[in-house]
Amino acid sequence: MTLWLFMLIVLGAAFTAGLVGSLVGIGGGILIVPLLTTAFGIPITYAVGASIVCTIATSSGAAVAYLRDHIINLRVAMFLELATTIGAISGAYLASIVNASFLFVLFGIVMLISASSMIVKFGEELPQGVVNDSAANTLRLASSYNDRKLGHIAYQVTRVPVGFGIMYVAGALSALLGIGSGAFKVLAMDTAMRMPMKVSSTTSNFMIGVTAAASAGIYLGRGEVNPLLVAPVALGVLGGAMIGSRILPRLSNIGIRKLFTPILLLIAAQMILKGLGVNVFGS
Amino acid sequence: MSLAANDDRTQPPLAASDPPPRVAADPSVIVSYVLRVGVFSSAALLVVGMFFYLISVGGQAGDWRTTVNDVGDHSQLHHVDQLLADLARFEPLAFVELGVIVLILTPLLRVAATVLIFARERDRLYVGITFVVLAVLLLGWFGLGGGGLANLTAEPIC
Repeated sequence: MTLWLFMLIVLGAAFTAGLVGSLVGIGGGILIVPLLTTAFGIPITYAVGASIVCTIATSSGAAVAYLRDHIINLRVAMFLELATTIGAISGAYLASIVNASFLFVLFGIVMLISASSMIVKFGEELPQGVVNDSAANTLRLASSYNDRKLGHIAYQVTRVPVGFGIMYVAGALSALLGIGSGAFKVLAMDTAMRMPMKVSSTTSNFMIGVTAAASAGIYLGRGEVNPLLVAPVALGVLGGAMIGSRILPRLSNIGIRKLFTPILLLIAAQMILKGLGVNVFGS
Repeated sequence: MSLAANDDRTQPPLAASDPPPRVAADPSVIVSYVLRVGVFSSAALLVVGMFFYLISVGGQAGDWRTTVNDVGDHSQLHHVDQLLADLARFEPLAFVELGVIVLILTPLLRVAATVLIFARERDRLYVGITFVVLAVLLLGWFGLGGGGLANLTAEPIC
């Protein structure tokens, strides 16, 4: 295969990853890493480097529009990012004393259970009867966004300590297991804090780039970022994420949930299989 | 005016044709603009670098695997001096590498912009929160000998 064809395939796959990732608030590494390692036999270190760049590109490419359209809740993003970064530091310290296989299986199962709670809520366009808890009041987390279909939607935020706790675990897991924590971020905001799905996925999108940037420097320093791999990944993802961020306002919250749930199941399956030592996706 | 919340806004979200005064007054839009500058500079560097690289290898680009592995082995991302020298010689891949670095810096840029905006709003609580996030990020990059940019001028670890 020629270099040109290889570049085009990677570019196309990256575009898809950016498009899907920007809609549901995940980094898209789950789509890129298997392609690079399983289909092309790229060494895992380069694939993980490309995956981190993929996450940052998805986040930055889409956040431009999501910020401008005021869908992202900046206060929630920054408050929860506090938990994620502290979690990431703890994770780095815990790395030598915990059993990664066990954690993969455990949190894979947690994700499966979360997916069932997603399915229960399949028909719910907006969460009903949510009232600010005291932390949400103190931190002024309640906000609103303009929904193209529903008009001006004001929402409140609840169970903030639970959301903060999940984010801490998400940060620790991303440091311990090297998995993108986007799915857990969306779950914390949608399921625990009961924010509207669009706000949850776009706020997660904003956050994943910041979380990934914390470890990106390390991969860069180790020379695990291969420019010939990363360039088509970054360009494809940026294109996909920019288009995805224009599509999201036109979708319903139900539509985004329907897209997110199968991806959640895919990530859960990947984690459990990996924990059990079945290395289907090469990562 | 409240930050991140847009309770006071009822107009459609599209801001492409907004006049500069409103842009200057709206925190989310400022962070969006800062981010857009970062994203487009990165994309431009990547496109220009890849274009000239692919032109230069042209028809003699053989098997992709050999080429990709070869470039990976000689990547200059961890040597700032070498990167600068390559940029000065208009080495196409050096522009690609610079584009990647700019892209990786965009999240830091957005957190830094958010700190400044909360500060302008005199929102002390969120200046504090965002500043801690920024500090942790910078620590991950430069501090504690934990790798990151601190290692850029050193020998590669692997």
